[in-house]
Amino acid sequence: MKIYIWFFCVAIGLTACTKESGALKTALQNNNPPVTARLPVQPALKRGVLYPTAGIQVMGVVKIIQQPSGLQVQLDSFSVSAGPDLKVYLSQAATPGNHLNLGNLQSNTGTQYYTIPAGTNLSAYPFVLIHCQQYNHLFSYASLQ
Amino acid sequence: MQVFNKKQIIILSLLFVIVANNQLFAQGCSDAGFCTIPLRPAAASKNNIQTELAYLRGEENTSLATLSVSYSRQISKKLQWDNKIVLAYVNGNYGTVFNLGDIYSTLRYGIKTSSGKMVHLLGGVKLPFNQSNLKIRNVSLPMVYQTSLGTYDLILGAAFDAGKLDMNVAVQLPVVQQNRNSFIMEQAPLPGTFPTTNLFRRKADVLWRVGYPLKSKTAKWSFNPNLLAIYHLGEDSYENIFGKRENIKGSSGLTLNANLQIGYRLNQQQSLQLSLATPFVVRDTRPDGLTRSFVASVSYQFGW
Repeated sequence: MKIYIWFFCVAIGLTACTKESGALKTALQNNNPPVTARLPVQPALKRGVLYPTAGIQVMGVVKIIQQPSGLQVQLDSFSVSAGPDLKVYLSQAATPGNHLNLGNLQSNTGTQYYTIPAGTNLSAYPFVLIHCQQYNHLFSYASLQ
Repeated sequence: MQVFNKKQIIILSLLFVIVANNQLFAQGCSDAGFCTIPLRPAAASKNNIQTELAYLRGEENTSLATLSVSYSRQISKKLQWDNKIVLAYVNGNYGTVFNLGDIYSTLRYGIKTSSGKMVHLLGGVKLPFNQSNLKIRNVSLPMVYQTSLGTYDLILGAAFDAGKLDMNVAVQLPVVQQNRNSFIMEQAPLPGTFPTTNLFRRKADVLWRVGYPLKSKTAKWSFNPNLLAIYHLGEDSYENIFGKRENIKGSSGLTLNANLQIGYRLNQQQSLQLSLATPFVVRDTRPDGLTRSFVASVSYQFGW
């Protein structure tokens, strides 16, 4: 009996899957158009270099830019080690706790943009963090200057 | 258990259909798992295997299908050990998710009271197979798409007769909260009313089921119309985008469901059961994704 139960678990574990709907595919394409189609490069209001925590590899620059739609965080020339649940935070310190969650990291590589909610007091958040929320592990931090 | 006649069956069936028709678009049957755990011994066999296929209608065009496999063993005359594993398929506006849900392991102990009546006591655990943070293309999904609540729960219950009524009471208590859901409404790519459940924390539930079991003269057919009340003992909470915990207003309170179970015994070893359920009193907010407007399940049991 135990063998059958284990077989069932392993079989299901191997076949677990997800698939996006047409509506989600369209929404993602609309929300994240190709970088080449974006507006001309904006000057950075603030910028910082990303540093890794132990065991993590990261490179890239963080910029705060003003777009017509509002302030954005730009990760430029960016790459980071893979993680299961990486988030981008604006943070009051170099560790999470008092932070503003800007959403899921869109990709482990490449230039990407994150909208900062309107009304955010940018001076209160002098750090940008890449943080694995699921396992509460900080991957990277940048001090904005 | 009472012997039924055709008139009783027709009246009870009509009542259920009326409730179901009026409330099919209501929301609520908020079963965190313990609704489907039998509090009484299902069969007299020493070993039993049961498979159950269920269809559930959730919020915002989501539909769910679950397959569960249970194994129970009679350890002694009074003690029985039950195990159940659940596999879920969820389909909705975001897409489809197919994964393992939870595993349940419970012990049931029967005691005879001084009046000679049997009381069945149950204790067990629910263990999650994931942390309730399944994603589609890196998009965080609402709780309704998650195949597990992501909590390690303690389940305690009792079943006893009160006159002609079958009474069941139980409590499901989240002991370890490992839910790592990261759905944030403001950041969702699709419009909808699913509330934010980022790092969701769930409160306990209590269950009270009152049934009026009937059986045919030959005992081939059994019929158990019942009312199922689930009370959520507090407001659930989540972590907002500023990293601060917020309670979800309206997430505590009562859900009341009508449930109809029809059983057919094929022979001494095998039986079938059909179960239909729909809610008619619901909580104002149901962030846990356990909202069901309709549940139908078919199960097959084999004993040896």
